[in-house]
Amino acid sequence: MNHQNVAKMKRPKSNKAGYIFIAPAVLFFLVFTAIPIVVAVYLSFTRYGVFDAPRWIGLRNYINIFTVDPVFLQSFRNVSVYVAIVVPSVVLISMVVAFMLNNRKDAKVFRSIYYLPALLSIIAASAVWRFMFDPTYGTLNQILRLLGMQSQNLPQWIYHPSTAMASIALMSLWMILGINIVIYSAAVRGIPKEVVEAAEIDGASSMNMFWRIIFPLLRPTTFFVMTMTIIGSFQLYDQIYALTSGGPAGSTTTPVFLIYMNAFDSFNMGYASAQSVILFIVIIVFTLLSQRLTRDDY
Amino acid sequence: MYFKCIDNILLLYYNPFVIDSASICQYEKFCSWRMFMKKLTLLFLSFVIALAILGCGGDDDTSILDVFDGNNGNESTNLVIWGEVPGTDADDIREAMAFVSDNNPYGISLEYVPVQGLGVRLAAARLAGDLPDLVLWPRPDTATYAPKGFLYELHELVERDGMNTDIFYAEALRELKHDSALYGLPVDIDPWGIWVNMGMVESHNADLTPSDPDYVTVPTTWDELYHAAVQLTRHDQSGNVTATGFNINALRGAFYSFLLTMGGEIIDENNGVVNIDDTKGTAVLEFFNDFYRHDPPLYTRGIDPIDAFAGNRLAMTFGPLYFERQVKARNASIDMQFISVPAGPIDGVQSGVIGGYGLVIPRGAKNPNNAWDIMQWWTNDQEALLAYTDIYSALPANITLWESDSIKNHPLFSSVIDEIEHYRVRPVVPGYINFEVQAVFPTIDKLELEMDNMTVAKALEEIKRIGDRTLALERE
Repeated sequence: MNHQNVAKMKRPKSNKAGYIFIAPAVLFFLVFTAIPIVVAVYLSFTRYGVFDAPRWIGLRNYINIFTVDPVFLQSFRNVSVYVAIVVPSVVLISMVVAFMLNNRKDAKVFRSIYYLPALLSIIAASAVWRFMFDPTYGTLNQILRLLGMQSQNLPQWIYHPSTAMASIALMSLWMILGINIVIYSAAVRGIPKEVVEAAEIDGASSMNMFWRIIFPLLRPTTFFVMTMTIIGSFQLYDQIYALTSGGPAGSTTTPVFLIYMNAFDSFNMGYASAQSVILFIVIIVFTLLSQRLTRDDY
Repeated sequence: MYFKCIDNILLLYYNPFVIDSASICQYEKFCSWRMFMKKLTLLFLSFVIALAILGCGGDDDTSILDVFDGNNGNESTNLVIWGEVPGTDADDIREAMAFVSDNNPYGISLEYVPVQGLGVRLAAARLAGDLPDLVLWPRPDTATYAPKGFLYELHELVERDGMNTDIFYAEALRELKHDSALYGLPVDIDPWGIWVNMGMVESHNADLTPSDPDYVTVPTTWDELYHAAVQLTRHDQSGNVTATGFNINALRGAFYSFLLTMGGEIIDENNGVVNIDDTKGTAVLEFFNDFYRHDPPLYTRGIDPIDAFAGNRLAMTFGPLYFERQVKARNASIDMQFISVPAGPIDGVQSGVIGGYGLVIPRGAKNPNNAWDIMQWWTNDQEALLAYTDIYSALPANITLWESDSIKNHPLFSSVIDEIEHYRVRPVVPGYINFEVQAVFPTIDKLELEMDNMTVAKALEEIKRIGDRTLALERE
């Protein structure tokens, strides 16, 4: 009797219990994920303001996004700055810090400290950062003054378009690094010791060890961290809402900020849905790119 | 021990992602035909349910007069009114509502519920079938929300009940209309002008005579405003601003106000397009530029105007009438004066923008007849309106009250009434707020920060170009 036949014999005749067990999860998925996605795609072809039924207008919303809308494409340029700062920084810093913490006795203390900002409410943290970013009285510029920087050269942080998005990225890094350090720490711990020992016996240098052994073994984790950070970055909203409201000069207006404004300030739900669909596609594209970047070719 | 505990929890929580992360890349499982069919079925099922849900929200073709049939018999007399006034101000609104509840002839009582994000909350309440009976409505939102069916049209009721709407300040009533349909009745008028910290002015003038070139008067023209802003600004030895003459951060929000001081327009309401006279638009932006480019700088970014004004670190700022209440909550002894925005250099007239609240009935409210009765009564009853005026420090929109002693003898209200004929509401077109946020503010920011080689001429052109596109999107 081969293994397949054994498996067939052991399979229960009815899967009812299994379906009952997965029903809550499927229901949850349907109500909070699948249906909203389908509704959003449908609404993107309509004009809809919540109080009246949706009116089908075909591709009009999509055409308007690319031909009339003066700010949506600009918002992608804005968020690209954020993505370009946050994604590589998160991957590199988290990986390096996790690697440095590995095998240290006080690693637990540091991991907990790094993780603490993630426990804070973004809105509450933003209030503190707003104070820190204040060009005149803020903590950051006070420190720079102590270091000898002239008043006229001090950065304006969130109050100037050239530094606003970078300032938001700085705050975000402070909040999200801890989570990713923990993820990388777990991954570093999961690397088989015998592989490292074998490399050491073969005389691999620290750099070789990192680039040829550790880094490739961390690729699945890097893919996970990079993907989640890309998705989170393109969905940037809370910090913008709390710190800059899209300014100055529209430099921190992000796609989600615009989608929110169109959906819940102007109640152009159909148009906002079309913008959401485009954002969804962009995120998919970047996720696939990230997958290619971290693909294991070995 | 504590850190070890946290650390273990974190690693336990994130380990599944990491240990199984190799499986993330195992797409083969997901690509099997059976899996694909399951996903397709799930997607189809979602689509059917979604369409069914959306199908439930059909148009309501019932006539307004059928809804407001005058039959109050089955309606509750305990009405809920929503508004966006929060915090301690909400207590003032509650006190005014209590007066209405205690004195109206219908036995109706009003319960005020402050909500944040009025539009979102109304949409959610509509979907849940639990709308409030009335809303203390920010009138500038009417043009955006009324065409989307948020509010009942009331003009047929006004006609049926022979109500005289001439008793209301015309601009306030106009702000509650869209496409000649009326959606509410105005309660108050909220003029925005400039508050002057008279203590700082007097302190500056202490050793000067009126003939002295540095002497500051309460400004009535742009030149006087600029002169006062420069004179009242103080710097430390390093050149940092220690006291601000005029809150220049608020200039971009006052672009329309300054156009009004030359009798200018910003939007052609009939066609929903930007309509700024080149000469007047250029004059306003050049005036702003004079503030931005002054050396030494006249301002710092990010100041809190209430704190700074109350702390005598800010001499002049834009604000509504209730700014006085906010400042005096922090510095009761401060001497402050409200002025209209000073007259411009072309066709000059002191002016400003007015906002304010109206009463509206959200479409689908459960007690529409009682709601209509109480809003008619409240916006007409002299005592109820004066109580509201007294408690909430707002000028009533019912102009018949402007002749009453309590308004005529009120120093703030009387000074506003003297100049109110030049005040205007924001343009009544859908998407005006988006126009300001997407076209006016960022462009003036760029001018201020000298970004993208922005000049006055280029800024004016950009406001028109982006503005027209923003308004066109809303018209679609």
